[in-house]
Amino acid sequence: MRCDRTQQLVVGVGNEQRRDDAAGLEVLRLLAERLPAWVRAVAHDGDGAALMELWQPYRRVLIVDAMQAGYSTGTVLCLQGLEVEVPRGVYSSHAFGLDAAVALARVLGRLPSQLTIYAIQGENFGLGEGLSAPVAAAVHEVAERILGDLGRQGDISS
Amino acid sequence: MSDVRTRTINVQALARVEGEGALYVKLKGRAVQEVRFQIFEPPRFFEALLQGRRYSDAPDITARICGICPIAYMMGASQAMEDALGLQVGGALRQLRRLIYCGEWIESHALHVGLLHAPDFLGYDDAIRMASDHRELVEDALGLKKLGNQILECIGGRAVHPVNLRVGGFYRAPLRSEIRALSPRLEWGVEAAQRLLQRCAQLEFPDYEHDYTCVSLGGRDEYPIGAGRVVSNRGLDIPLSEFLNVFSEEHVAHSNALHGRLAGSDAYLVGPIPRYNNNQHLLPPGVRKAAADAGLGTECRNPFRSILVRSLEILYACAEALRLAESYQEPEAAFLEPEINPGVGHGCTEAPRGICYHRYELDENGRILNATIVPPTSQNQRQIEQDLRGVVERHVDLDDQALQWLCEQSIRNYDPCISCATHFLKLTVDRQ
Repeated sequence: MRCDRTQQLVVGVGNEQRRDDAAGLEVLRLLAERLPAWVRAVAHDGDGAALMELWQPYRRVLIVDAMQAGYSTGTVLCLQGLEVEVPRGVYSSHAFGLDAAVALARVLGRLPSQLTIYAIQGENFGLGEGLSAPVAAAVHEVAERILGDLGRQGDISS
Repeated sequence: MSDVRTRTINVQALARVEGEGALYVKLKGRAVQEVRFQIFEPPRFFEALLQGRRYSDAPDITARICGICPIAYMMGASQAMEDALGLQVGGALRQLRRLIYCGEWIESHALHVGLLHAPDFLGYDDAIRMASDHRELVEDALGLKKLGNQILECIGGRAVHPVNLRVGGFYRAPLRSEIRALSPRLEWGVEAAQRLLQRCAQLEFPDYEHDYTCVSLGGRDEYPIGAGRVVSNRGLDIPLSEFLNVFSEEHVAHSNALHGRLAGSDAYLVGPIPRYNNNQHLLPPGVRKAAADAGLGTECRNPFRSILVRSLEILYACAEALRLAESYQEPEAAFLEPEINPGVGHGCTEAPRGICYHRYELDENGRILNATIVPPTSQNQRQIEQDLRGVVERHVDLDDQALQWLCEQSIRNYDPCISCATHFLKLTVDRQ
């Protein structure tokens, strides 16, 4: 089945002024000149309710964000929407972030048909600019993987 | 001789508030020995960051103190700079500012009421688990948050860290057609807010009351949002220039935030309950009736009923925004340009969580010599701790799990924006 090219979205989530939290935004910057014209790219602050509104018109959504999950710095996880663990009670400093948005959207039937999340383990989320070295390397890896994903989607046929 | 049991309730990471915080309660038998509401993030240094910057930078810099209430900081900073520079912003610009501020009240209150606080009352860990059984409530809250963000985007350019606000007004005044396009959604918002208020009126509220010292802006002929003198239910009525003579901040050992203190009072309260108690007579008749139907009298003393007051303020903000949108006329100029002179200025507006005060001193080139910012959550810190002591004392017979839940719910009564109170957004949790 050919994927509808007009319904694809790439979202880079993050905060420029919180060091490794800018990882998602940096991936978006690397993709800027290389994404197919039919893919929409959006930089986002990660507000969960706003994300649920943003992805609603799209069948295929790829999201990149930094994570704090105890992995070694620079580790990249690739999760499909249904794999995202429902968080229990504890929220990030954004109060209602990406993981909660995915979980709530699942309950409300508001998940896109295909949702892929690339999460990059960060180390330093303090005030300031600049990525940790392993994170800086990981953003290049994730950018290539996203281009590969989009390329494969564009060629799928049955 | 009886063996007096010591119970310790230690919540290391507080769920469902902006940023991070923790709670420590120690009981010996039925006596409360210690209560500490702790802020874990390091303190912010925005006040230091502002020194040496131009007056015109203050709104954009202070907007980054909080992603949920940027308008409060931008307005407070702008108001203080305009005060310092002798600039009066009124007419259509003032109305446009009030409209975008309504948007912030709507999105902040809706997020809190629907997704952060309602789960407490309905017995759920969080909104995700609540959504299956209370879908309409969650959908209405999400829709209202979206509506608030739409207002911010329409007037401010974007919802997070709006870019169109400046000292003197706006960089670009929206077209009348752009503002009028909000009306259908605002009409829906009024209906959704009424449903939300009626739903919240059915909640069961823990039994707790306190005679708070309620501090807010005092409106003259409208419910205060962006302007007013600072008043209290104890007779305080001062201009903004007197704020630091009456209110002070002190650093406490167990918290990185500064605790607000009012001269002559141990603690005081800011936020929706003081706003309502001091100004409910200024609400439109329809909103006052909705308040009465929801069980709100002329004074609210139960902090758990803050969810009702927030719901009422969502209704008011939607109705007020609709009125402003339908009467909007494009201003002659998007902003007023000030003359640069040295001086001191004060600003104070009603952020969703309560009054947020700014003071700046400028040199002859319009550069900031020093800055003081007093966020609402830091002003409430002392009162939060006292509330916790009172709640625990009244419910000491609950088991630890139930008591912990009640303490967490008590803190969430304040919708504390901990990232504002500590001027920092870093998430650091020390888990035992």
